[in-house]
Amino acid sequence: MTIPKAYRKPYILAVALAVLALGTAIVLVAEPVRDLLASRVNPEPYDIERMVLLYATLPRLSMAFLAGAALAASGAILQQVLRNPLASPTTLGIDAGARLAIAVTTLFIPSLIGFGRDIVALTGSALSTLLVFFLVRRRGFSALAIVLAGLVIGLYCGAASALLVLLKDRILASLFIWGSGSLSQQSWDPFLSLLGRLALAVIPVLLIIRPLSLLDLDDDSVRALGLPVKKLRVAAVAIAAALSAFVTSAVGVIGFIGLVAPVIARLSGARRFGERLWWSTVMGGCLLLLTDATLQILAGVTAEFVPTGAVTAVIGSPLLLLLLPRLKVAARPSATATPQTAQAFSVSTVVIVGTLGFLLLVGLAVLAGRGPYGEWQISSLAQLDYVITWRLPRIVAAASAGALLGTAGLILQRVTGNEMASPEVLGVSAGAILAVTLALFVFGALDVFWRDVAGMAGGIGVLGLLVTLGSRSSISPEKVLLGGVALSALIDAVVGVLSATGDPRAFLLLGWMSGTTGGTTVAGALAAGLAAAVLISVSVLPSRWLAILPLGDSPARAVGLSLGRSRFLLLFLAAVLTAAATPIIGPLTFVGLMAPHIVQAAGIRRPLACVFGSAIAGAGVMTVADWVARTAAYPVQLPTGLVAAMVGAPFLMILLNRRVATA
Amino acid sequence: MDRRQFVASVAALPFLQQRPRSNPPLRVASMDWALAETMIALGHDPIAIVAAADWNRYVVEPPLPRGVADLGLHPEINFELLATLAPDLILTSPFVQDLEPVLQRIAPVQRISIFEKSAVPLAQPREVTRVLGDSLGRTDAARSLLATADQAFDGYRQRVRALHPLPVLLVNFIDARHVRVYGGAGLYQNVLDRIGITNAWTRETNYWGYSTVGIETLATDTDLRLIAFEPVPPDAQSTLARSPLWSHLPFVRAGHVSVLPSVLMFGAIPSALRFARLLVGHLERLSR
Amino acid sequence: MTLDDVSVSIGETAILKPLSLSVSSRGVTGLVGQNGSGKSTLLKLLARQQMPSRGTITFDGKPLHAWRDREFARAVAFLPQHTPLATGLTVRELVSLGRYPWHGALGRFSDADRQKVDEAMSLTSTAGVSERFVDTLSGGERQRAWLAMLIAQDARLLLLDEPLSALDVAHQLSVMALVRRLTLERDLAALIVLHDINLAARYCDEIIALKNGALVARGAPGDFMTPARLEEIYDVEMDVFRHPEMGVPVAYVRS
Repeated sequence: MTIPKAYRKPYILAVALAVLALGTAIVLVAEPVRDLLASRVNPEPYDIERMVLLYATLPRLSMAFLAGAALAASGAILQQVLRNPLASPTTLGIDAGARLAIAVTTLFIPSLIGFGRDIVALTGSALSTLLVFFLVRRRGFSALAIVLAGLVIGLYCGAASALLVLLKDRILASLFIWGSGSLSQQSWDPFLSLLGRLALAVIPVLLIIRPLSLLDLDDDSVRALGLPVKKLRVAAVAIAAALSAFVTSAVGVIGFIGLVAPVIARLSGARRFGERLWWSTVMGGCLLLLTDATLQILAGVTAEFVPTGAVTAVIGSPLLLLLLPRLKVAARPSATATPQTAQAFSVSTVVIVGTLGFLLLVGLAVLAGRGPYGEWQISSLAQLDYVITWRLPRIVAAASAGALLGTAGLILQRVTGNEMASPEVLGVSAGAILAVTLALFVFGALDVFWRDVAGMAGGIGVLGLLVTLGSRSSISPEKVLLGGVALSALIDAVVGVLSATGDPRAFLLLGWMSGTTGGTTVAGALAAGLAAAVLISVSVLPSRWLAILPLGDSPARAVGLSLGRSRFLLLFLAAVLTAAATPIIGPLTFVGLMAPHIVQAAGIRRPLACVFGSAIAGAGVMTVADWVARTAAYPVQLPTGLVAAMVGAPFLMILLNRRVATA
Repeated sequence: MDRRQFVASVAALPFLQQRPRSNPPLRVASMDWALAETMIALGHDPIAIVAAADWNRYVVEPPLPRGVADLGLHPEINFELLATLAPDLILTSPFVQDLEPVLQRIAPVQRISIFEKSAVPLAQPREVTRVLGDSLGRTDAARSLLATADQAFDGYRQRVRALHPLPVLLVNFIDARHVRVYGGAGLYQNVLDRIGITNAWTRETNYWGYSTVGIETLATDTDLRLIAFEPVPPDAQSTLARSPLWSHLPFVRAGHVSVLPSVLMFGAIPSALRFARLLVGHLERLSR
Repeated sequence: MTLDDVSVSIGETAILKPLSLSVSSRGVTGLVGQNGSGKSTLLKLLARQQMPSRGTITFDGKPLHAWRDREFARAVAFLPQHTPLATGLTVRELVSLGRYPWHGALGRFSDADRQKVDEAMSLTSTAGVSERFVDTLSGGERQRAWLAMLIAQDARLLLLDEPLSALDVAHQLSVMALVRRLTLERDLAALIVLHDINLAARYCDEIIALKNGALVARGAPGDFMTPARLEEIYDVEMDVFRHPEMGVPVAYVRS
């Protein structure tokens, strides 16, 4: 963060925001209120306008302010305690946990929903938060581990509920609306119950303000001042999670307020944590009130239903992109686990053992399947023709995509020194989806050819953006990733809005995004395999850069590496790898995130061996995922892309759960 | 369809094929429920359809014949299974057209649009019936299905005239705060128009004939009858009971709120008939 | 290495005032001064880690920006003040990275490269820990591993930013002795930022002193070590005596 100039005062912006928000709200309610006052003189027994004002509009506006304020406070606390300007309630998987809980309950124990949707959501959030704590308990509840665990659990819950939605879209239509945060109200009950719950959190929040302020120092210094860092962190994360879970359970997921409000407060000059918390809270409330009031005024104009939460994300993502240049991203020491013994597997060992294992996997996946009666069977030679037509191509395509993404993930994690970096967040996939979405809604239904053309164009567009960014100066890879995160969130929001309106085309889009492989032709599989072979061979070339770059800027420059050029070329390579894989398997696999971690857990460290290892690991995960997708719910075929996330996320959780020696 | 029925049907396949017959019926797989229900109504059962497992929950009528294979779900139907069944013809609709390049590798594909805006009520479902009748070599069956349907609708129209019903508001409760409300060019509106019932929802809908709104949007001071399709979420009733806005609505105070079984929204003539029968039957029961 | 009217400023604050200077291309040169005097900035300028706000720096008669990256790294090696943890690398792998300027991204790692790496490790006595991970080493071992990487780089000019900060007395002496030996045996030059003026006096051929971003003194240790000079540099009253055995000047703080 840039050092704020001394004259910058947070209250100036806060007052401006408050005036704007109140002004908009007044415009919204002015007419009904005037009528209400007029009708005092001549009261009617039943006045529909008055009822709507008293029991819909006013509770909704109050709810907007309260929810915005609570989410912003939660975000401010999380950013402080996790020392990450990008931490937000969403980062911790709080929303995703609630979403999965609602999906599962709706499908399997609908009577529980009768007790209260909010209770179910709260339980889901609580369980996911506890799971985060459970996973990081052996890592001293370190900030980085919490972020990591939150991300993985969010990923898993997200993939699981997406899968359920795809299988049972008619029952789970409510999930779309819940997931895009509608503030629509019909009584004061939800507001009052949220107010009561939040009131419980006020005293704990006040109690942790001062200890949290000390976290501007590093852990050791804080400990030296006599503060139990671990306990403080657990308490603060728990309080922040509770604040946001209360809101989520009341109105659904409202993205970005918790992220953007604290950032704005900071940029407007709130320097110390106490100030930041207070002004974030005020600004968050005003921001959501402003958004919602504006939306209600506009809603009179259009017939489409637009949930507020989706709008905050649509506005918030570009805002984050705009703020990016002003955000100072501190270079963090890489926190990857260090193996205690030097198992220096040679490149040839990795390639030979890996390839053999992979081929065995492919053989099993090709031969083992289920017949028309749903019975398990091993294909015989007689069925060779059928296997070659329908099974082998999809496995080859999925494995190729996995290899491409695994390689891209390895490159990105090495270049950024960030173990959460993955091709899925690079923005290339996001660009492809955005283009397909636009094409789908501008031109109506799309045939497959034009859909792929649009997808390619979108991916290439983001690539072009990267090139422009890269040629301007030496790129900060973290910022490129953050830009990708913002772009991906924007896509999520757009798809969320479309889905919430119930438009059947949104379902087409979701289907494409979830990564289907069933119809792959032999030619398509060959093309995918060829692309993987060529691009991975190219990726072998810069493997020395991958060893040097993680050392940091200074040493890298000192041995004569041009930082700008090498980073740009590597990011570009990762983008091309991703762009080649996305049309095959969709943007949601997260194989690129997982493959490098699998390789590391296997004790492979040499850059060249890592490149091959990640490619093989990615291909292996996708092969397993494709097999599971084909056979698990037979005759129903699951989307391979989503299944890959489901297969890989628990694996990452197990990795996180291992005890790690901190250096 | 349960597994046993399916096993029985597949086991019977070779036998069916061997049966001496001058003109064996086309083996047709349908990727769309509206097309499948029309086929069944024409007396030509499909051999496989998508999402067969959910049929009894959302389509209900006509009942799915025994032995129809379940192809799983769009976006990724079970191509392996479909290829094994070796159909002669595959029916698709614009909703699933992204599957067509693959389906064409298995059998010829015919795409039939089930949803088009039109000035005449039910024009597109009728067109679907005719087209399907021609494709399946059952032109006469199609003609007689349409004649029977017309007769039935005319009957419903007369019964409605005798009832003088209130305008109806057709909704699906999505959760305790939101509904999907139907009108526009949708199947329900078409049926209402055909049998002479007024829709209380006159505001805009999306292209498909529905609109998602907060429940406060339903607020009105005129009386009407709210008809909610099943399923109603378990928390809707209790939550709404606590809402002053809801409980003071004229139609709520008058008790004009009913629940009807589910009817396929993107359906064809059979679903239209089902809806008309359920609705008119319900209104008659209320007036007694 | 020659600096011509080089200055660095951030905003309106001058970090380094306009400076013209020529650094000897042989022997050990010490760079001393108070905290914030601009020592590290000067070193980073010479290492091309940072660009001057104004002025030009030339090396071998060629402006620094005209050098190609790897060509420059073959000639000039730099050890930053804070070395990263280098997670997941063994000492040998770290030292091997020093050969990058020679073989580049795609060149073969030749026997000659391997020999240079072995040599660098034996010179820094890190051969014994060559298969251990850098982040599991003690501070002193790690410092020497990085030094080994620098030596493997085989450059003509070594730029070291406080290389002794993590070392005990014995290792401080051995590192300084090693640097000195290298400069003599291989005809290299080294520029070292040092806090210990006595170590500078003992091992350097020349000392350069900076204060508030400006050059205040330079000269051979003998000329340099006078009470007046030292007080000017450090703002502390100091005195100098002769080492009873070696005869080199030793400074101490009075009162």
